[in-house]
Amino acid sequence: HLTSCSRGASEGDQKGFSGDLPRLKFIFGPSAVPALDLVDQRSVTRVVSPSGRTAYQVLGSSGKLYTCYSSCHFCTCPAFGFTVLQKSESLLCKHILAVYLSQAMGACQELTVSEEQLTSILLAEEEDEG
Amino acid sequence: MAAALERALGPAGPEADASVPEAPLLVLGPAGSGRTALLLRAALAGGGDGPRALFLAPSAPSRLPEGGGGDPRALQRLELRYPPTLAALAQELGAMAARARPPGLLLLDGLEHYIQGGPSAPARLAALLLEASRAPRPPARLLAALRVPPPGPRVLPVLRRYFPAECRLRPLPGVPLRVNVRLVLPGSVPRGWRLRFEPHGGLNVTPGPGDGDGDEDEDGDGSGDEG
Repeated sequence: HLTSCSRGASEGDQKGFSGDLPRLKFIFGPSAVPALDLVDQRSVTRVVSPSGRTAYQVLGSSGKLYTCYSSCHFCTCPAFGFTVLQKSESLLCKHILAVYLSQAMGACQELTVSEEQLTSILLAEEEDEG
Repeated sequence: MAAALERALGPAGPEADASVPEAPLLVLGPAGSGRTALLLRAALAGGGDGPRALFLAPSAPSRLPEGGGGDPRALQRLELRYPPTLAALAQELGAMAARARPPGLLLLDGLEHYIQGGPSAPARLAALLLEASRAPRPPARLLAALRVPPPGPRVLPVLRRYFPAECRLRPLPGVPLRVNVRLVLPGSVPRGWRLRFEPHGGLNVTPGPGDGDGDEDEDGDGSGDEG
């Protein structure tokens, strides 16, 4: 719904995304539309521990769950490791962009976990391709 | 963290400017260059009135420092812990936010020991440290040390994404116990000191040149200096 509105709308919607899709594409390249799809699907969950630490889990299009950090750019997806870190071809992956967009739109789901569980989430292994 | 380093080492050479922006700082140096001693000195800078400091390393240092500036209270605000694995380190970092009195300084020695796993391992380690340093309110200042040459060609470029400030230690060739220190901060003129490690464990610090000495591979990673 959000993606189709962004593509066809000529008037601002309640979140002011009219005209923003070209800007998103210009800045973030091929990650923009897939990130919007993830937001559309409410794939982003903000995970909070009792001490206030946070992390984000994003359910990817492949059905895998990726972890994005709150305080800096890091994601456990293969694209972040390859395209961002190794090749420096992109500023961030679609999951990190989806986190930012979800934050801006108030579209994050919320989940409270224990300190140990949050530590485990932050230590989640990088996911392989496929 | 750079301010803590300057308190530890004193005023730099005449080319230094007055402002010291705070940023996560990476200390680089080969084996025996004094990375651990420098971290501990930074932790104790300010004497008994300095911030609480948490020093993490895979094992205990061979020698513990004297109290900062001769003030024994400095050691009372220093906490030393030795997580042997990345998982244990993550547990220590996770516990920081839950403390009633979180530390104001977070120091990690032996980064190379904790870089485990795939190509994103250095990034994840750096991200864990940044998360831990920013979770307490107010945020803790972060300083981490890495022995060079690093364990892989991509380690340093990745770590530099997360550590904008860098301190490079370079032993003087042919001169035992003498090390040049060069502090590189974003947007600032590099600053320098000369260290002389004394046999009984003391450390003599004098201002030195902040510019490079023509060494094309200061970080020892086998490629040109990227700093």
